Amino acid sequence: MSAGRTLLGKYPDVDSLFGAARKLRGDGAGRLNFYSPFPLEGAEEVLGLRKSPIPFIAGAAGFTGVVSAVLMQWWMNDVAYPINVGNRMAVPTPTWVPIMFELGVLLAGVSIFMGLMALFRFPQPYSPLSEVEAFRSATVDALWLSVNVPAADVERTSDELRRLGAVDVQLVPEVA
Amino acid sequence: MTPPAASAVHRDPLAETPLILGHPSDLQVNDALLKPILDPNRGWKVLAGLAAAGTGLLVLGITVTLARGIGMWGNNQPVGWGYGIINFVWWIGIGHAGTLISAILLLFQQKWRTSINRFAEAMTIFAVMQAGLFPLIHTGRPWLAIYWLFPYPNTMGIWPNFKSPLIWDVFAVSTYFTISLLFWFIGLIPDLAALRDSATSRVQRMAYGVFALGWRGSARHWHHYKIAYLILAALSTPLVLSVHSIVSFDFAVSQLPGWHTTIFPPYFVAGAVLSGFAMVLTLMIPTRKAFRFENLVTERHLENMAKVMLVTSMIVSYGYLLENFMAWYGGSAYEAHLFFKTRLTGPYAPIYFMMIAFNVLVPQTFWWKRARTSLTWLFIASILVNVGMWAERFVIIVVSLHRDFLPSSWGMFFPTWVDWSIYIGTISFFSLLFLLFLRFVPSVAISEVKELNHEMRHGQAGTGGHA
Repeated sequence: MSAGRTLLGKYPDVDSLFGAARKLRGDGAGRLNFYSPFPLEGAEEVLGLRKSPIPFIAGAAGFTGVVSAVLMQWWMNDVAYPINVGNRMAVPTPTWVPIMFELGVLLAGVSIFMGLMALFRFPQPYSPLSEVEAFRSATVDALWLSVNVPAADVERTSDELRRLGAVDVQLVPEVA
Repeated sequence: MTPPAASAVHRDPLAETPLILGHPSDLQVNDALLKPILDPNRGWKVLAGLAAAGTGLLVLGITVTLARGIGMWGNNQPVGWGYGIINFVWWIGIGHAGTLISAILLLFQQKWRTSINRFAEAMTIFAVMQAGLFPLIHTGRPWLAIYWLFPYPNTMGIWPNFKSPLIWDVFAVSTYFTISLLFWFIGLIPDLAALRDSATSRVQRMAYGVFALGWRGSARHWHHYKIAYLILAALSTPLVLSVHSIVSFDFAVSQLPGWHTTIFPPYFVAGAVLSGFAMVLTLMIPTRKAFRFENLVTERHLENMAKVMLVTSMIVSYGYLLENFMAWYGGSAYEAHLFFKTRLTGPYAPIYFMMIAFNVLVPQTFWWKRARTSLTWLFIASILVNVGMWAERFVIIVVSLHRDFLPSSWGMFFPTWVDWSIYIGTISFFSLLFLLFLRFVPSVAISEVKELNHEMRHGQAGTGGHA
């Protein structure tokens, strides 16, 4: 972490939360984030987030699964240990389809989970945010906004958060 | 149940009942849904003790089977697939409702799924666990069966036969289990975090904190999470259709009358959904009462499930009808004999008529709103349907096998005490897992209910899921 500090502001509703974020972003504030018990419609746009790479990860992994299913079945049943069932054609056969489908889905699904873990940098059992007792409400029933500010600006930005409608403002403690 | 606050006001009789009654705040939703975990009641221990004792039967049955061999079961020639496969198909089928509710209803934007999806997904995972046990023990010596089930380089240089539906089954069931587990766990992460942050004891905070993986509801995380959840739903939808289709291939690709039919895949999938919804009702009706979830799992939810059962029961009935039509129209003497002699007048005829009564006739009562909204009848009907679906698998497997082409090789099947103890053991083990789930994990998707609650308060249309 840089020398900056993180300020948390609790907002009573989505409109004031988004309003505050838009204002802060317009003023060129540091990195902003929301914390909420459920996903907020439109948060991506307010925060200016880029498209998630998850669909690409899932697609690539699914494709890998399908291709490896073809290669696996072809090599195992037609090259390494040929099995002739009812003299049906060896390559490419409709009997490959179920395994192609299952392996594609399996790899896509597992990669989505792994992809999420990598993007979130999870598991992350400790975060300085856990030090703020009031912030526990972020997963229960409250909407929080976080902003990174230089140490000198803490006072000024706290006032700004309050002026923009925050009902509670907390400073995340510095942890070595 | 407590009357909703809105019922005092005159409502449009054609308007649907709201999915959440009584306008609770997010904190009230949170506390109501976490209460069974943070402040449990005593009845749980009694039930869990019973289920654990029943699980002992499972351990006993498996031990006897492994020690003395598969001859301890009732199956023999000509009925080589007895309880092992009946129960496998039955349990796998039950699992299907979970994926249907969580994935297919999410894609169709059916908001009523929100209060019941977590519950149904847990049921899926536990049911698939029971199902997987049966074929595994049925191999007799599972540790010697691995080389023809899983492709791994073994010293014999042999690879599995990928043209066999039994191998497809291994891949389908293991993929289904893995994806269901991931879908369930990803859905659970925000709720585990809510649990971590609502818990007061240090042990609970630590334990749930470990499983919450560090979730704090960050918008940057929700952003990836929403799309991940949606894609997993899109993957699970064809997956759930594929699993029971592939299970039905185990039968349909053989030449045996009663198995050799092309209607099997859709008819198996519909039957699976029917039994799965029945099982959700069986479990949900007592749970919502014990946990006082009536405002979140409303009568409308139960009524909708009854409607799904009515539809799938009619698809199953169509399957029965078409099987019989094909037996007549196809002109095969063996098939005609099975459908019009053996099933109707053979030694297992009562089981056949039980199947018709419970799967075809019982759900027909759901045309009436009174039947769909009576908790007692829903509960009884849901159990009858599951008995009926078990009878269906008995009819397909045992009745088809016990009298095949040559009368000289006809024979009977009688289950042994080992068959029964394994079957009852899996029901107990399933109940035990379910009770543990109810006790330690949020059984309703809290973050989704909060989202729905938020949408309802602001009158906006949304998806009702995280997508």
